[in-house]
Amino acid sequence: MATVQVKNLIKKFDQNIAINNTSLDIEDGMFMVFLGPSGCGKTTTLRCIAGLELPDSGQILIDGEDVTNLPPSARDIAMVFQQYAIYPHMTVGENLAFPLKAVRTPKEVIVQRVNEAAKKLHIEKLLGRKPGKLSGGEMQRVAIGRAIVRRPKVFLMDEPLSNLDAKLRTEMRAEIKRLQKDLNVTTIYVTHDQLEAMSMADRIAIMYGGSLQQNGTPSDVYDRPANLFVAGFIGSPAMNFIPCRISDDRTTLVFSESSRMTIQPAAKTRFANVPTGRDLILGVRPEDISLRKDHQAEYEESEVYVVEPLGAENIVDLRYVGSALKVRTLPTFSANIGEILYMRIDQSRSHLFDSESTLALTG
Amino acid sequence: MDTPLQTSAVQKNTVRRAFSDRTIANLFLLPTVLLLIAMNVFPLFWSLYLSFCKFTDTSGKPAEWVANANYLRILNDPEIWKTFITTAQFTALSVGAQLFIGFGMAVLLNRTFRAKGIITTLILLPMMLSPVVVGKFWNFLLDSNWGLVNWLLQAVFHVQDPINPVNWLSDPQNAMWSLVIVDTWMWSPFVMLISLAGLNAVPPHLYEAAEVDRASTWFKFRNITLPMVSPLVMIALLFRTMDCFKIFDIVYVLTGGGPGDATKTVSYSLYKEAFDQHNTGFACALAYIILLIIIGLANLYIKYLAKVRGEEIPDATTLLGELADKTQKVPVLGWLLEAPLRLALIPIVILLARSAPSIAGYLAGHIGLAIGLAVAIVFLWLAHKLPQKLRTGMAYIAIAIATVVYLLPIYWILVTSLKPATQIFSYPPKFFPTHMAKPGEEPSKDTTFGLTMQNYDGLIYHRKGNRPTAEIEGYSEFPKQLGNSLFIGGLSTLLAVALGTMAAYAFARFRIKGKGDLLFFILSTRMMPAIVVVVPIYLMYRSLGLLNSQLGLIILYTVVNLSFSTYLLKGFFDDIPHEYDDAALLDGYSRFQAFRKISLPQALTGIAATAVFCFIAAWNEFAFAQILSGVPPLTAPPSIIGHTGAGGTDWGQIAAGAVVFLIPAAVFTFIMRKHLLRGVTFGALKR
Repeated sequence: MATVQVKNLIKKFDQNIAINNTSLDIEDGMFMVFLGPSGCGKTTTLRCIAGLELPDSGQILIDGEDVTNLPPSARDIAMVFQQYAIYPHMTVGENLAFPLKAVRTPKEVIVQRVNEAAKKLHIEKLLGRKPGKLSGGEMQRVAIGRAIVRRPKVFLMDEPLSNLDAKLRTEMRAEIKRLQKDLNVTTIYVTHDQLEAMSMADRIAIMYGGSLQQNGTPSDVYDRPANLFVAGFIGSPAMNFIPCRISDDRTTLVFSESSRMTIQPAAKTRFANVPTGRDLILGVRPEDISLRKDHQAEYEESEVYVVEPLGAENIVDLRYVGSALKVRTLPTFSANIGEILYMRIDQSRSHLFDSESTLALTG
Repeated sequence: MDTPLQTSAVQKNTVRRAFSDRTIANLFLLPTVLLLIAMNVFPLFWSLYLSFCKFTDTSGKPAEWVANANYLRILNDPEIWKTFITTAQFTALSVGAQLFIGFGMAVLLNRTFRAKGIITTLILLPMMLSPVVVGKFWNFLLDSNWGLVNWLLQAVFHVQDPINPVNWLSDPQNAMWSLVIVDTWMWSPFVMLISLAGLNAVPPHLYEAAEVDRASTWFKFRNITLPMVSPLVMIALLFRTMDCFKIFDIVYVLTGGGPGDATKTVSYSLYKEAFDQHNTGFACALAYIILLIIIGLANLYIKYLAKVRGEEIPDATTLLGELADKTQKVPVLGWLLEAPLRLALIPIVILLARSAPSIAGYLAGHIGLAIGLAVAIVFLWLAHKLPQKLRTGMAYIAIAIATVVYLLPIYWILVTSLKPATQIFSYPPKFFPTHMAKPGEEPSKDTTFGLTMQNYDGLIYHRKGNRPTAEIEGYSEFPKQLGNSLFIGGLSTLLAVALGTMAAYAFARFRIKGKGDLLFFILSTRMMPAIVVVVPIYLMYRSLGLLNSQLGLIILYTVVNLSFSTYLLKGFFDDIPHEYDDAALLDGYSRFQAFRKISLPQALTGIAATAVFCFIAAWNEFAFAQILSGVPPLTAPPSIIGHTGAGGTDWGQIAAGAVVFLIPAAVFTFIMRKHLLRGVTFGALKR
């Protein structure tokens, strides 16, 4: 129903820069997730879009209209807060009706819309109750309900699931995603949980230190991380990093004087544009390492540090050329502490980063 | 929509938006700031000017500039020095006793037992009642011939020779102790309340862990309880030090600075200089010296509050630091301005140094006291070795005794108010009313008496020849004064809470430039002793014709309560997540609507609690009412303590007035018991 554009947004609190020149385009009907650790500026960006903060410079456009200086009430947006912000002195029904009353909606329409929203969220029975008696999940539904009765141009959600327990969170994740697709409302969702981001988003904007790091689809940010931060932030267990260089003849990865690894033929083109003679970091996802008990070509010797059985998979911790490597294996793969295993890094799926600029050098 | 139209709409919106939030913040803050400037900052500058002048307010002559002559005189006047030493002595003794007793009581009460809530509230009563009214009555309790205290010491405890009774108020050394006793009785509950909060806040799992680690009771107390509670006790200590240093009310009613000038504290001598001797300029200079010391203490206090609260420190140093930058050409001034603490520390250190020997000498001269303290400490040390059950039993006995001690004076006011004039001075004293007195009834020989309402009758009517049954000649002033107290207290509370709510909302919700400095300024006006600003306010009111007027006191009490209500209410608004307001803004409401429909309803309990505190403060206020109103006084407190008949002080009358006057505060104390802690600590501590 609406597009949102953020142009060169800058926001300072006293002397601290919360958002440093961020630009973003969010398409109509898109589920956009702002992802990053706490203090990265994601919530501040959201609050600027909401109009709860005035940016120091830059523009915010909703449907092409400049709303940078409009009060929140004039932007036709709805927001779900982390603490839900259900007004404690009103019943659930009154809470749902509150945004409609603000714009003097006729009574019949209010009743109809409230019932509609309540039905959609399965909270019809709660309408007469005060929020104090509700469970976390119910509060969450009411908060979402209050946002959808409005039929706003844009939904904003600020870590709406972080106060729920793990099981409920997984449930609500699916429900919010489905709701968004049904209503087809442009949605901006802030979270620090990469699992939430990956599972719900159409696009993810990863932020760190007030700057946008990468803006892409979930598979983009997973398979083609733009820099070390994104590479390390997305994925669990995190991507393994090994400091290295590329030999001048581009045949080997040099970890140290004594240990090096031949570049696999499949990776030759992938590493072709990487400059030699610079400090690099090799990034490998845990699923891109394969293990064997016996030696074979391209397999390197390494020692098992610890094994973490997780049921659906086992995580094997290795020590290799001074770096710790986590390897995802089948649950049937067993290994013992101190055992020597042979591992092969799939270089065609690996990444090389410039150690200084942290930018990805492989496409 | 075509482009030009769109831009103009945006421009309009920009203006509107910029208008709304900042304007509301300013509108909400402005009245508070303006009132505080008019009634605090302006008088202070005026009195600063006067402190460099020779000026007598009654002479009609203009002030004559004498530069620092007044200050020189203060520094060289041994009598003024003596008042500082007396104040320091009083402060040290009183605060020490209050800390010891208050903390001890908190330890006793920090257990679960039936009626804990009621007993705690009862013990807190003395602190909420009017210090002058109750203090006045202590005169009667401490009377050497028929006072309850001496009777208890002679007839019940047999520690005093009835032939040679202790002269509590007319002996110079005892007079000081009397002040300490009354102040401690009134304010040790304050220390208790804060300490109790501290003890409550120690997480039980720490004790459990210590238990597992085989720690002894003493070890737990020493290494867990004390360190966790000490920041709060420090707050109580600073607060009490500040209050004791500016003590005026109790001195005024109890000893009048006497005998001689044995209990003449600085505030009292300031009052005498300003309103007895009419050395207005000199009094202003003295006020400034007191103010500097109080600022130093207040600064410490505020820093501690912020630390306990874990918040940014509302510190004036940034503001003063900027000033210092601008005054770099005068390095000494810059150095002093940079840290207000530094400024105030100088007189404090001098004072302590000069008064320490006399306090030590005092303790040495009272070997009994020193031995008593030592015995108490040994006893406490031994007590922790006793079995748990025995200790609990002892604690209950101690709680019972303490409750009786704290309530006895209040009970005594009540029974005295119900006694016939002939039995007020009965010896042994009469404790229990058993029946309604009949006219001409003989007094009983035991401790019972027949109760009468004649003292209350005397509050309302003037009767012929002052005889209780004679015909009514006219009405007394008291009902009107009580009405005045109610009206002035009520209206000033309404104003203070209304303005305070707006200012508090602005502080809690908006990012305001120099917020910390502004908050510090507002809080510091509250810390200021009444006696320091009363001189310029008196002069100001005189020239405005506001002396002895209801309007004058209403404005004054509004200002006095305004900083308190702003600070307390800010805490209440801070407790309401700002997301509620944000959500309302997004839901299409304006900032003002969000304030009215969301924040205000949720803050109602807090606003009610604040109103009660403001009302009690205005209701109990004495110094301003006494000085700014004429004869007969405008409000009840100066009137009650002034009841003197032909045969000396009419205690029956005073007691009756006191009972009527104390009832509202007592009732409110019970209603507000859950908010007491928050109220007495400016909202810094919550339960």
